Amino acid sequence: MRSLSKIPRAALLAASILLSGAQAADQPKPLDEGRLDPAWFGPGIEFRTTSSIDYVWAKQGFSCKGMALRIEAWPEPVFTGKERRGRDAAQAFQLAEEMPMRLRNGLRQALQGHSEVVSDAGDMILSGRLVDYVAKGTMGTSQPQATWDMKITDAQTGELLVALHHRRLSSVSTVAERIDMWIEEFGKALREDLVIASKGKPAKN
Amino acid sequence: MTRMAKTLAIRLVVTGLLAMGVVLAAEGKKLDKGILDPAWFGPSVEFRTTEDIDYVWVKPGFSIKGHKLSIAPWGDPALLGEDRGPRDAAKASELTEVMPSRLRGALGNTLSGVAEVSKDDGDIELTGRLSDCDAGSKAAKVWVGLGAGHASATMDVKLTDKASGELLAAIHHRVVSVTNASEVDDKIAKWLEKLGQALHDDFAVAAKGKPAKK
Repeated sequence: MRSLSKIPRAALLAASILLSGAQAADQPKPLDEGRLDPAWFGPGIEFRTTSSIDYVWAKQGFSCKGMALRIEAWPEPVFTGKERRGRDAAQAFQLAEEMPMRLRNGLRQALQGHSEVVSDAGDMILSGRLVDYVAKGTMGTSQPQATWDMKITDAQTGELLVALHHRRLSSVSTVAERIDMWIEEFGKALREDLVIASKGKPAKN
Repeated sequence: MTRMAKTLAIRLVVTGLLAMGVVLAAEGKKLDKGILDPAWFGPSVEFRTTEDIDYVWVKPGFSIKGHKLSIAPWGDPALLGEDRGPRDAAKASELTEVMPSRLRGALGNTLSGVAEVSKDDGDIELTGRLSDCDAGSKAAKVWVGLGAGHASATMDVKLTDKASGELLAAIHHRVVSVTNASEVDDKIAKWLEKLGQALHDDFAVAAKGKPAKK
């Protein structure tokens, strides 16, 4: 029998490359180039892509009609994708502080007569975090943009009801203006019990 | 009074007036046209001018390495510039509110692996204030150009030892947004990144700077 040491090194190297390639192909690629971290939401989520929300999942039968929705404070941003610069982080931290107020104002308007938006208590909790931010003037990298995760949970049981991940690009208008426009769209989708989630395409890794 | 005594009296008065003029002129020359108020920082601060920070002073031997930096809320704006109005005051108030969170973001990023940045606790405290703010005019920027309608924000920032209150670093800087392509907020974010890089290097830029001239 030919000993292992007599097998040409090149053949061993080629075999190991093929093996690692096959293993890598088996492992699912992260969604949104790694910005979407499924661990933040919890298990059992199959995201779908739609025209107004990049990645969304809603529990079957979800509805917020007649419910009180509590908007929680956002934590400090966590950049899950590419490394960003100090100028990006400066504006991201500010936006994270402002997001709950923006959501409260925008959703209160959009959900009028459908659901209540509250600061305390509530039947459902909407929480979120910023996972990427590119400030205006960060030349040569990407367009100014903000990417965030949001989830809605049952206030009593903690059960996950809605999970979403979305990015908003901005060119002429400011990131904040674009976010306010998206919150309006999100409010409309909530009014329709996020039926868009079932109509979306399964998110591909 | 004799003629000689009169001449002497006149000479004395003239000399006195001249001396007073020299003193007043010296007092009139202030750093950054008076927008830099040394009293806010404390005594014994000898500012130096550098490329990235307009005026900076750092205590000899200062280092941020291994420390925890607590970013405190900013004090009320001072608006020491000329002809400031309600729009400028409103912009200054808006910036005052958001500066601590911006600083936490920018410094947390640039000091990563060197020092910690916190909202609540730390052994070194960073605080600041807006010493001037010009909200500018978007319309003038677009329709007139050539620097018309430019917006600016001038900031005082200091680092102190939280236990002793000793001043460790003092900074005075102005950012200006000249064209319609940028907002003063974008300029502040960019500068905070530079401030973070300078702090990362223990404000070595200060030693390389030139003494600030009045």
